Amino acid sequence: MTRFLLAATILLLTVLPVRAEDAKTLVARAIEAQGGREAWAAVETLRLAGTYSRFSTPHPFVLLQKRPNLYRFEQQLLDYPITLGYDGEHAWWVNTSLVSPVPWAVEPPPAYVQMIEADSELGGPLLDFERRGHRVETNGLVDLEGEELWELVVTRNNGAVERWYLDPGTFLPRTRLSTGADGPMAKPRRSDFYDYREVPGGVRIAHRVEVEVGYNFEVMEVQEAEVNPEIGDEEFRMPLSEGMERIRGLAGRYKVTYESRPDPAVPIVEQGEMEVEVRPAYGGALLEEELTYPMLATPRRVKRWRSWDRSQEIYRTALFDSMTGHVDVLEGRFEDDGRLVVSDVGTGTSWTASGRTYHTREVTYDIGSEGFRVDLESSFDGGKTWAGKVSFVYSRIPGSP
Amino acid sequence: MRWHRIASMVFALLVFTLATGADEPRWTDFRGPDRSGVSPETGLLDAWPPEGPPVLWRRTIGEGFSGVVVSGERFFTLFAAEDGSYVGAFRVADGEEVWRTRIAEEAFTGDFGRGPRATPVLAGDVVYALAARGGLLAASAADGKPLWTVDLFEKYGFFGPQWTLRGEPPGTLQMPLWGYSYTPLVEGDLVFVETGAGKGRSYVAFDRRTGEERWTASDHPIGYSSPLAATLAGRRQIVAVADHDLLGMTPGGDVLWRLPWAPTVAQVVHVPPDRVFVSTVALGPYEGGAMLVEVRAGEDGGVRAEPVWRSQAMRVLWAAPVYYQGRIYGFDNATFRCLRAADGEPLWAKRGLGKCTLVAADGHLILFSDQGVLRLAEAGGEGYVEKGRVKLFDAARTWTPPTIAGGRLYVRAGTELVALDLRAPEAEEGR
Repeated sequence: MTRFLLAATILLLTVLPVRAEDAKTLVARAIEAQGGREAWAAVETLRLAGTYSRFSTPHPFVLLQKRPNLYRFEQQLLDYPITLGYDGEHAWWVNTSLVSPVPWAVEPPPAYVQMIEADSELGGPLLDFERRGHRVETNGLVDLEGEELWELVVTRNNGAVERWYLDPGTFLPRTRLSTGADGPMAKPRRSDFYDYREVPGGVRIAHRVEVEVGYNFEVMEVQEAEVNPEIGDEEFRMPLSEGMERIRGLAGRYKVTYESRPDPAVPIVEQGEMEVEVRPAYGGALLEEELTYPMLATPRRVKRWRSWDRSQEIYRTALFDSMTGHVDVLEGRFEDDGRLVVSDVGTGTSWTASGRTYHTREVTYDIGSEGFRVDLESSFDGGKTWAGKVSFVYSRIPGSP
Repeated sequence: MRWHRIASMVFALLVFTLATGADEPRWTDFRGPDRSGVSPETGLLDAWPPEGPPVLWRRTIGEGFSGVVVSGERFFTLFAAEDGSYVGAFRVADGEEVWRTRIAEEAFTGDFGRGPRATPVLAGDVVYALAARGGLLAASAADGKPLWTVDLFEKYGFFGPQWTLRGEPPGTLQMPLWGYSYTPLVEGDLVFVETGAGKGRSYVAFDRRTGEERWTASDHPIGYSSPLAATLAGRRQIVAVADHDLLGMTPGGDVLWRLPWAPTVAQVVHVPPDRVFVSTVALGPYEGGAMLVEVRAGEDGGVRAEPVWRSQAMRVLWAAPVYYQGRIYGFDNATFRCLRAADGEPLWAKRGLGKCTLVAADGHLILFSDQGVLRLAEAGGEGYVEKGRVKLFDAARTWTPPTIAGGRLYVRAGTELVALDLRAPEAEEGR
């Protein structure tokens, strides 16, 4: 028994490294077959164009990729343009084909996010897989629907598992089994790669890719391949609405000083300093931040969301005050002098206490690359005059985006 | 006495032959007279030259996805013109138009294009045609003279919460998202249609001579699968997919059996003698798959249906498979597969053909891809063996199933129609 266990252990120790080595060798051969590591290392950007067919209907497509994982794929489903994008952190899409079309960029359903992230790696997951944090194993030669192919099991750095199948003669990737998206649902996805051709720079790229997911059958036929064209990072960023584009620069980390003066006639009653991050959420469709400062010696936390209403073409700020549990909604626009002025006069959300209604106005101004200023003002006469004020000065922390 | 008997038999045979036109090329319905997609013709080319079979003629025609039906020296199909949807008769010899009759004043336009989807049906001397906006017409096959017409949309309407054209508010009268896309079924004295109108009127049968309503049934929303008529367990039945059910009905509208299923576009396939095959693609929450059903006579005089096998190996979207020589050939989305009909065992698979419609004839399969490529493949082998291929059209969405009649193959790509000569030279000499 002991002898058997010893033999089994030795066998196991012998086999496991071989399997791991085999996987590495297979990956190396696959990369070599696609032009080699050096050639791929020189690829910083890639632009592919051609026709992309869905529902048997071909339309032009443009695919842009930039190291390490910036991605933009413009295609069309019947008469409906679709753009998928990934800025390295966030996936987005503009999808006009939905039953209720959304003709602007939003975060897609999670299944699409996962698919876009998986597709975003320039050169695919086998290239530099260790550096990317993926794990690759092999099951050796397997039968895939009557064809004997090398099988590689790729466990991505996010835990997602894909199976890649290499041609036994050329070692070129032939098929990938992964997870795709069909509507809001994650579904098995099969991609088949055909017609590899060498493109400028010496890398070899499949010029025909057939993808099946759910009942969808999509065929990409590459007619133009350009290596290292100039592509700015902004191509991969989620396009924002006109309004949010204008205040996109507010995002960042700041040192914020504040001073509050309940009445202009009286001296400053409170002042201090804090650190605040203005974070873009939903790809920048919302800016959110949290401020902590005292009011009349009582600690107070205020959460602020800024957004743009496309239908009414107005800015809207929502302010949540932890002291009152109240959410105030302020609306307004940029004034001619460059100040963004929003208030709750007319929104019906102002705070009422002891028979008085406290209206709030927020003025954001001096917006620049180094920072900006915000005044929160109060009115007790329905917005005719604005008195009490808390002033904030946002100074961007060096190195903050 | 004996002479008289022989003379009577010869006369009877002659009358029968003349009456049925037994020698005439006939492909009278969607996917052939029995909707099987299988042609009984023989003497066809068993391999194609590189340029494909000889082109007999090529003509333009109005938009649409309608298939071609053939009887004698004429063929019939549906198409759209500027002023509506038409059924037309054409000469087999050269494709020239003989007559056209308007079915609807406005042609359907959906996401996939304009024009009729259904194939006309020939029954006796009448052609039945359904426009995608719901106009149902019976016309004389001889001259196109209208005999009767019913507008299914106007008469029955469609109040679907789903599958409707974009922008139409729920609860209002709505055109089905993909139009009236199935081919009506002519069975006995009836024309059977699906309206999806609900309220007991989702199925409607008309007297095929007068257009009078004979019966209505069912509440299900509209589907897009063409029904099938077959004799199963000794009883003539209409087999159809009604939303989430596969069901068999008597021609009188009584449901004989019902099995849970998923919404399906592809037509149900008869696997003689007593089985039917149904398949659907993974759509939304449905996994898709295939099922072979056996229909048996019950002890109580009724009819029972039970699944023989289920499989995930074939999930068909729109192109109905064919049952041929003990095997089922069809497209599992975009993978061409061959299953053994008896037990569903996958025998082989072939990728890279796109999605195709298909027909079987003379030991072969003819595949017509959604990108206009026509292929000839051997049937019955150990794997996919291609014996000819030709790119017939520079077109997309070529979803119309081919027609084989009189040694001719009719292939349509939207506004183009081609007739090819499939006859082997030796067969031609023998004619």
